[in-house]
Amino acid sequence: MNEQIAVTGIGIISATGSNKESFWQRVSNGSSAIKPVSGFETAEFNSHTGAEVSNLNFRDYTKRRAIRNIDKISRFSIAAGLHALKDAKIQIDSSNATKMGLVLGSTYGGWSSIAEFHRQMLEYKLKRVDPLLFTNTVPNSPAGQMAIEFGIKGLNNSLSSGLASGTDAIGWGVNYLRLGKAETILAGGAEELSCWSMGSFDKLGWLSRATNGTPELFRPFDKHRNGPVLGEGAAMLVLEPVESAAKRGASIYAQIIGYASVYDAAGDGAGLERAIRLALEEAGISPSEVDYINAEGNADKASDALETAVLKKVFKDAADTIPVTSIKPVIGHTLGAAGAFDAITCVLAMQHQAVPPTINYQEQDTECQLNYAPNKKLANKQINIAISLSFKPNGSCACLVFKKEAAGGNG
Amino acid sequence: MNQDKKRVVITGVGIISPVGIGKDAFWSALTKGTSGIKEIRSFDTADYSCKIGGEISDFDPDKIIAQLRTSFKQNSSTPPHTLDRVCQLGLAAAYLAIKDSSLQLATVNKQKAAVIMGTTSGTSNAFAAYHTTWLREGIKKVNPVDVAKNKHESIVHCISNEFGLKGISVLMGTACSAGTYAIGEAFDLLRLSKAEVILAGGADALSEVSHCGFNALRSLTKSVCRPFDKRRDGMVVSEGGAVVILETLEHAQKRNAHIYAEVVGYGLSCDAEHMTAPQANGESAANSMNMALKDAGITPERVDYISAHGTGTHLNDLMETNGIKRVFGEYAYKVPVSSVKSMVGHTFGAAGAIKIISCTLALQHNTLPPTINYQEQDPECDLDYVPNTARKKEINITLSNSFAFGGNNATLILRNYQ
Repeated sequence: MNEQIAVTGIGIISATGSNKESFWQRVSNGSSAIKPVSGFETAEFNSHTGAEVSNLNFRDYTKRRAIRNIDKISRFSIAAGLHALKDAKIQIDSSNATKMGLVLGSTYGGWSSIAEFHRQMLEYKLKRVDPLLFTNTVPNSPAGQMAIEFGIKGLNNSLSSGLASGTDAIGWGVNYLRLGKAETILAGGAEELSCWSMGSFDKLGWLSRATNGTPELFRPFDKHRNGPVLGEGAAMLVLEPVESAAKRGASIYAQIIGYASVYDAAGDGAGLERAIRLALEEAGISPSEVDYINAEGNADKASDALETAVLKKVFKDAADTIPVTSIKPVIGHTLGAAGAFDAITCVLAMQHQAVPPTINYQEQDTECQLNYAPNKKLANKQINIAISLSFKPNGSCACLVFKKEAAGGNG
Repeated sequence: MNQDKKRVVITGVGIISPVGIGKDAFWSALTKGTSGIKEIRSFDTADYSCKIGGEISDFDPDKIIAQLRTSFKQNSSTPPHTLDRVCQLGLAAAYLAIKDSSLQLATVNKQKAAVIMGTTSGTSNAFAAYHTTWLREGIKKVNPVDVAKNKHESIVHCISNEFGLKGISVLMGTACSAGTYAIGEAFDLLRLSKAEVILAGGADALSEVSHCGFNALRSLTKSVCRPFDKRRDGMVVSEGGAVVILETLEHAQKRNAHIYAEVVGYGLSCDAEHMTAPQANGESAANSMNMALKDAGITPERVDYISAHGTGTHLNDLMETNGIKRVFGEYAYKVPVSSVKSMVGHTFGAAGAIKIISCTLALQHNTLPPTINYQEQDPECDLDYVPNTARKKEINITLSNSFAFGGNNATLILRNYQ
């Protein structure tokens, strides 16, 4: 009863560059894009590094002349969306515009636009506030800008579930297709790094910082892990039913065969466990069939230990061998976009038959003992089934299950 | 897979609004044509030409949430003051909805109980509060406790957390149509058997940022909000929390729940033209209405009442009228259309959910809420807007529209349960 959904296009804007090739190269070679932040002043913060998108020439991506009011997160979203549509060889015109849908996940949307509009309001009240800046403050502004750019007139949704946002947006796209609400869906996540997001997470004590002679470093599952480093960008996927993708002769990267999202406030791992089990159940896959796990792996002390414990519980003996990796130390934690980057990593790993490593891994933690593919990719690895996890211990927990396309696919 | 789809019903409503807290006060105000719009007190309006809004002055979150917790014998480690106002509005509305539905939380399968809410501003009020300190005194003076309040997803997570609900918990950020999206998305999740019961709705707190922004866009009224009137000149900002209890029919029947209405159709579309200005010819709005009608499997002539988005801006009301004419043809002149925003103001992310509650109560009472402040007909807006006085009418099917920035359009259709 669950229609098979194909991934037929992917698009990426991240600190690793503006295309899927540079992304895969950096992610699989473990070449981190994290550097000292240059886009804004971090002197007053405890943390100073990030993975920023640089050299995005937005003019290359838009048909519009007036682009001053298109903010950073919308530019990322449009650019990644354009790559994905081109990759899937989809042209949008009057014949299919209302049958195309769009779902975007983000934790906070255009945070810098919100901050700047609020600053103008405090300073000038009505006298000099920019009304067009105000339109960037709503959470659905990036998805609205994408719809305008591409002429997508079908359903258009923007959702937020914290760190699970990107994964939920893709799962939502799968549900829409299964309900027949659209024929093709552009789904993914976007997030921008700003002084305001970095300052806020710094204030909450979540980010990695230099302590007792150890440097600020994003090292998931490592004994000395002490939090993530933020990244930014957008990752978009084109989704369509396998049958219609095959009919139009599209190249299929992989199928999405399972999705689940749950909430758990307890913070004891029960939520993540349930999300994995429900997604595998929907996919009709047993834990032992999974070849690769793309982890949340955000280097939060408690979260990584909990994720490890849940994986041991669900996958039992197989947990010692299935590679479990986090690409976040390469592209930074992109928050609401992370699930979409992880989804793309899963399909590229299948295509390239390689597992990207968990970098910056130095010392084993007794609480984190799995095959994290430390620092070096696992080459020549046949991956038929991959899963991707996005979660917060006391928050939304989401899981997607991918299956390699058997024949005639992109691989 | 259509034959596998479950039927979905509304079994409870909870509302915190400028015209009343709780469904009885809300419905009494709507049917009397009472406005909840007053001079704004929570921020200084001296610099703005529009000084009115829908402020819920009798909503004392500490008191109301504490009372609700006591009456539910609900323990919580979350003091209300640690939540942003938008979360307080949503949480209080969720309590009222559960109470109204007589849902016994102890007997609910928590893993099959979900929360979907919609919002425009999210927790941006919380951000604005510490951002003000940050700008004026530096980040060192910012209190992490205030930063922790600023998480959009806390609007849904605080509700799941409060009641121990473990199903999906996701926030719709589709701005002014987000409340309609939330209920529509919950309808779909139930139809797909992804949950058995869902608390769905929307919330937004009164925000100076919104007031200032809409004032700068020249969208606010200089007089009163008079949707569809010839002299309409804009909307008023407002706040609210609205939650409905949605269940699969079998779940509701199993517990002998009182069923208000059935959700039968959900439509979505996007203008894809302009971030703020709606498409004047109403084509995209019509796409949303047509998709909902098709989903419900009914012809336009069977709709008995339309709850309009009806913000009171020149362009929105014209576009909506044109959209209705496109879908309903000659019948557009026979079906009553009214805007409760004339009384409640624009509650943004809550607006769609408030309209669904108003449709639910209209079905229950066979009464249509009016469009108040209506005086002079606009030749371009010439439908039956139920001017100024509530109307008794036997109704069976209602259609509710929401439109938003980004051209996000959504439509929901309810029917008497039979």
